[in-house]
Order: sequence, then structure tokens, then C-alpha cells
Amino acid sequence: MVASFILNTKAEFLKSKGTAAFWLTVVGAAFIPIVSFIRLVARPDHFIRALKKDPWQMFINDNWQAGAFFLLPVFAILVTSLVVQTEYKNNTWKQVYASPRSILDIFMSRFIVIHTLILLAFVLFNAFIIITACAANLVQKGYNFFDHPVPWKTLFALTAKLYFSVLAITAIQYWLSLRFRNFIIPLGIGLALLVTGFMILQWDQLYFYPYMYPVVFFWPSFQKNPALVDKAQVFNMIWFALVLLIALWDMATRKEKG
Amino acid sequence: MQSSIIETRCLHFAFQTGHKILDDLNLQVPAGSIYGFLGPNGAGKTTTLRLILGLLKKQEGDITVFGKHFQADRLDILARIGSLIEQPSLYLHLTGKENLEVVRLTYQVNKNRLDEVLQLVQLQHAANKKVKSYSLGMKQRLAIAIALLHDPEVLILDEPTNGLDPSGIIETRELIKQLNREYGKTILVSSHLLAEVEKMATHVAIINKGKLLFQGSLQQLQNLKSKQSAIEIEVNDVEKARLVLQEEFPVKQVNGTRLLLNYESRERSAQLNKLLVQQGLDVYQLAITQNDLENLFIQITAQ
Repeated sequence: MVASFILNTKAEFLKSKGTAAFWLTVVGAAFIPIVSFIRLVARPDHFIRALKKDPWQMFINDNWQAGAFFLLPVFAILVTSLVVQTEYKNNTWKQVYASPRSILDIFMSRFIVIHTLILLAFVLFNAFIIITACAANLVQKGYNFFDHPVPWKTLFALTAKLYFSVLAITAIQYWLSLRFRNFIIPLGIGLALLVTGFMILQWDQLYFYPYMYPVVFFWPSFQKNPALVDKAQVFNMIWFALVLLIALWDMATRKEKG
Repeated sequence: MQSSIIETRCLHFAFQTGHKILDDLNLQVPAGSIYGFLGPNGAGKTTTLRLILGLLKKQEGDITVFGKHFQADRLDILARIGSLIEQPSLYLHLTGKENLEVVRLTYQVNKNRLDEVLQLVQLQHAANKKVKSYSLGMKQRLAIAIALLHDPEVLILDEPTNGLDPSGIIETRELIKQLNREYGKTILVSSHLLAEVEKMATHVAIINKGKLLFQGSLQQLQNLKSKQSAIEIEVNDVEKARLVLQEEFPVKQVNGTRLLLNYESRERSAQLNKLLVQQGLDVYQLAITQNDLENLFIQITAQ
């Protein structure tokens, strides 16, 4: 059972080879670091001074701040839809359901692929941050990245926190993507919920709202309200588990499969 | 009596709107047969096949495959079936071989099997090309290769020749016959073309508007057909021909320059022709009317 699940998950990875979801992961991860690199090279007069004291910490924060609030949830919404869309686009759901795989296997193997792509995006994003900082330092000798060690621990902690922040979003988007054949529907709902989140940022019970968890966990002003952040962490897990269970039940009891 | 590999009993299916798709369908697919499941588009063929594969939730009736109930033994049943439902299910961004590899991982089949099935469907040359560059015939063959990969006992093929050119149709038909003859596969194949089914099936079921009209061996179908066959003659003078024939060969219908009579036998057809020629009539054409699906339906329902 476990062996066949691993093999089926491997098959799911093979399906994502060369897909839009895969390229979005690679290109999406490179986008902000490349823009940051251009900024460093174009305006050394400003940034050499700004990054003098603690260059890595500041550069990392700078990159992540640009990505975490909007691009990270957008990426999670897009990649989830794209992975599921592979089956709809190719009309292959019927073949998946007509193969000897349990519903739990079909459900989880694809979700694992989505999360692996998200984790890959995090790893690549961090790698691009380091590479672009070093490259900028080579171009503009005035920077002092080479004089300071890369703060791996901080980077890891930050990455873990941000990965955790999108769990609920991925569960909701996964359910929506499985539910609707038309790719635009889950995408539209996800983006609408995200934009709505920014409009209700002042809400004192924002911990209920999954699409704002990356903001709650990362935005400095929310760190002044640890009770809200703690509650958001709890609700993140509740949303994640609850929606996944509903989505699994929905898949198992669907009258028409494929 | 051969045992049935697939059996449906009193199968009913309706859409939420109440529109009936299947009405009391009882199929028995004998082991080792090529079972032609024949009916016009919208007759309920695909719905039946989807129900057998568990792609649609059963509403009423009973389905057994290998003598087992689907709900209780879903994984075991599916492991022994290969299927192709409607258009091929292929990942267009992957190569032919990668598509097979995706399925191979699920069925945990030996890697050598990829080349075997590629050879069987004659796609070795295109194995490393992306499927999006395949012609429809190649896609169909690859889909059959996927269905065959785990060497299933039963193949369920839904209109496998749909959209193919004449040579593609012949190739697919020959492949189906070969799989049955040489590899002993039981094949349930649906089609909306009577002539197509007649060329490959050993058993036939005819469905229309969700109801089973006929089920039996190909021979039984041929007998039924010949009983109802007609002979059509085109002559230069229809009235004269009618008078000449009326004693010995009753004319059923006159259609312009054509006469329609009951078909009796080859010898009687020759006598009929001789009689007309002897009476100075020009016979332009003499043919047994093609018994198409539509005519067959009329005949069966009229019985």
C-alpha cells in the first residue's frame, strides 16, 4: 500500500515535468531576486549605504517583504490550480479513476506534488537571493555581502514560517481546483479572496481569514499583536485539516468521476 | 454455456433532470469474446461503460465484473481491466514513453513491457516524441497500449475507431482481433457502426435509447438480418417489371426506377434477374440492401 502510494506519487511528479506549474515555480522564484539585483546594481549610491550594517538580513527581508504578502499567495493559488488542471486539460481524470488506486492515494499524491513545488519555490527563492546578492557584490565592489556570513538559521526559520502560512490557502485552493473543471473559477475565487483580505486588514478577527495569514505572520505591525498571530496559527491548522477532509470526502462521494 | 466476465442486471440510470439514460439493461459479456456494444450516439453506451468502470455512481441495478461487485472489490477489479473511454486520456506535454511510464508506475509492471506494448501498437518510432505531435490514430494506438500495459484480462474500449481514417480503422480492428485471438483477451468494444462491429465481434448487444434491443452471438444477428433483408433492382421500365414479377416475386415497394423485394436466397436472386432479362427489360442494378443500424432497429422493434 505504502509502496504503491510512493510509486503513484512518483508518477504524479512525472506528470508535472515541463508543465506550466513547474516553470512558474522556477521563473516565479527568480523574479523578485532578479529585480532586487537590478536595484542593487542600478542604485549602488543608495543601497551600499542602506545595506552597510547587516547586508544579508536587510536584503533577505527586502526580498521576502516584496514576495510574502501578495506574490506568495498568488503563487500558491496558481500552482495549485495548474497542477490539478493537468488532468482536466488532458482529459485524463477518467484514466486516473479507472486505475487501481484508492481515492486517498489519488487525492494525496497530487497534493504532495503541489507542496513539493511550493517548497521548491522557497528553496529556489532563497538560493536566488544569495546568488543575486553575491553577483551584485561582484559587479559593485562597494557592497559587503562577502564580509558577512549568510544567516542560514534566520533564512530557514523565515522560510518555515512562510511555508506554514500558506497551508490553509493550498487546502482551500486544492478543493476548488478539484471541484471546477474551468481553471479560471478557482483562480478567480482565490484572487478575489486575496484582494478582499487586503481590504479587511483592519478587522480585529483577521485570524479567521486564511488568505491573510502570510501577512499576519510576516507584516511587522502584526507582530505587535501576538495574540492575533497565535490565533491565526491555530486557525491556519484548523482550516487546513478541515478543508482537506471536506475535499477528500467530496472526491470520494462524487457521482461522476472523470 | 460460457461464463460471463461482465454482467449487468436491471441497470437503470437517469440524470438529475429525470431524463432516463439506461432502462433495465441486462448485459452478459462472455469470457473470451469480442463483445460489440452497438448503438447510435446518445444511446447510453458510454454511460454503461462508465458505470462498469465506476466512473459514474450506480443508481439502480447490479453490476458484477469477474463475478465480483464493484464497490466491494474496486481495486482488484480495476487491476484486471484496461480501458479507453471516449477520446484518449494522454498527457500531451509528455512523450509516448513517458505516458506509458506514468501508468507503469501505478501498475508496477516491468519496464520491458513498455517496449512490448509499443511494438504491439507499432509506435516504437514515435516513443520519444511528445504526444501533442501525434496524429489522432497514433494517440488512439497509444491509448490502447496504455490499456494493455498491465496485461489485463478484459479490455473496455469505447468507440476506439472514432475519428480515425480508413487505414487507422482497419489497423485498430485488426489489433482488437489479434488481442482476442492471440492473447485471449475479452474485449468489450462499443461502436455506432453496425458494419464495424460485424467485422470483428463474436457477440453483439444492440442498445437504443437506453434499452437493450438485441443480445446474442454474431451468427444470431446475421440470421436476424438475413430474415429481414431486401433486394433492390433498378430497371428501365418499372411498371413492366412489376407485372413480370408479380406472380413469382411479390414487389414490396416501388421507388422511382427501383423495385424493392424480399431477399430469399442467392439462387432466387439469379432467377429473378434471368426472368427480367428474358422479358426484355434492362437491369441496371441488383443489390441486397445494406442493413444499416437504423433499418435493423426498425426490424428488431417491429418483431
